[in-house]
Amino acid sequence: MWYENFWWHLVIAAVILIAYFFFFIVMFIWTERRVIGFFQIRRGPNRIGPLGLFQGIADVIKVMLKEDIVPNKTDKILFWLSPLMAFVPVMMILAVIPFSKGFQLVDLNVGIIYIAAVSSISSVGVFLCGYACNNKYGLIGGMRGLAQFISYEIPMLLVLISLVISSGTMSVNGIVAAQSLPNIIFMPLAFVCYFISSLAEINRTPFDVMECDSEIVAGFNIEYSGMKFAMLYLVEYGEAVVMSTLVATLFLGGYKGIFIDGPIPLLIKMVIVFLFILWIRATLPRLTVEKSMSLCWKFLLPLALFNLLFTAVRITFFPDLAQWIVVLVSIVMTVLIIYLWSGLYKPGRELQHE
Amino acid sequence: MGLKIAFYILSLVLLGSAIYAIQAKSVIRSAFSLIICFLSVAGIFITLSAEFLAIIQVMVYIGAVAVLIIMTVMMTKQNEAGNKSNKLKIPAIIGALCVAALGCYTALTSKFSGTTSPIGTETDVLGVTLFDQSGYVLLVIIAALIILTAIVGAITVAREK
Repeated sequence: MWYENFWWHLVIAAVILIAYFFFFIVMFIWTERRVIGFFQIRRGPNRIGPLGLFQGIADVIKVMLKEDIVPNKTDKILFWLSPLMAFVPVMMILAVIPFSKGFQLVDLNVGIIYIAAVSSISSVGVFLCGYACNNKYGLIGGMRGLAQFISYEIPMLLVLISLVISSGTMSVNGIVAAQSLPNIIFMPLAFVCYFISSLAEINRTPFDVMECDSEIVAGFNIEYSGMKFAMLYLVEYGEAVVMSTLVATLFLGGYKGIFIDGPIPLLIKMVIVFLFILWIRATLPRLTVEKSMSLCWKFLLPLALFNLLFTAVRITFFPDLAQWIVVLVSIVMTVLIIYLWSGLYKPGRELQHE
Repeated sequence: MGLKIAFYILSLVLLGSAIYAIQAKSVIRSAFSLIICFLSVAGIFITLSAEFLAIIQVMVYIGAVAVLIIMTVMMTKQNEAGNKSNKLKIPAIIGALCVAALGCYTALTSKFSGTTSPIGTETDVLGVTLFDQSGYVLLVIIAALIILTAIVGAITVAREK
């Protein structure tokens, strides 16, 4: 068949992925503004198009027509290149995600490590944005973002290792195929750790210390305007799209649905994950830097290590246990360990003692 | 054919960015160009179908080493014009020529023996070789212990009390 040709497959899959990426960025910006408006008892954008649906397009046109200001003492090359360096890897992550049985840009046999590696390029790009604009707030914002990214990468990778152990493969397609029940039921603790640390990695609200308006104005994107600012905005929402897709793929069963398999269950799960992120954003206030760090090192890291140990013991010593026992033990263990550990760990306790 | 073209493009980018990393006046631009250099090395690994190695290259060298370099640059004093007291140009040229001569000699005389037997999926082979009981599992554990010692040592040095 013509579509089994290597180049045709590459071109068509890449076009579909890019369209998916940009379409959902625009839709997520609209959804976020509407849903946050709903949470804050106001309307949100509702003038342009039905329900304000075309607001995103109007914003894009506005941003493209804006003057592109490059401040005088910036490092010009870095100022141009670092938004691109932050943006491109985010899109590259989608390459290994299976959207349906057999539809995937490339089925890497090291897919999980690929995701971790590629997302680390993006963090360097964001940091260089903060450096290049030659502004102390920008630099502080970039520094905070990088420190937070490096810290939260550790529990995230530990959780991914436990996923790899329990699925027996590093390919993302294999992990989806191995989920007879969604991983969230088998490993709730892993899901909690992964979700919190990826919220921190994409700088969503409880963890957005790098663009914290009340302390450092706008953080890393303070000097950016016009198309380059739009690029950074795309990074932010693109990371949200990719992260929702990843959570849906790794923990919620990916393209496997209750009634049908295919892209539609994946999209539904992804939108549900994004709505959950919005709910968290509307509920929780922003953490300060040191609390965000101590949450990672003192709360998430021990939990992720414990989860890794638990999964390894389950796979090594009890590989033939009935599913319902595993599910029951996992859920009880998760509730118990989070309850116990949150009794030991109080954010900001060090400050009270001083 | 496609692999050859990809190899030449990647090599050009690699050499260009490596030269710029040495040439650039600003240290942070050198770091940036070093990142591009690491990326193209990862690309060359992919053309050799060593996916695991390529991805580990990206993860270790860009995710860790480049970040470390950039963090270190933050602590250095910016010197736009370069070091003026540098009088080591002639020894540097001699050293570079010696290394180039050695490299040429090695490249021209070595045999480049490749494996003839098919080795299956590269990552599987690597995993079995590293963690099988007849493989290198003992060495892996020893390396892990050494790294753990280094981490504990770093924490001990960095602790205030």
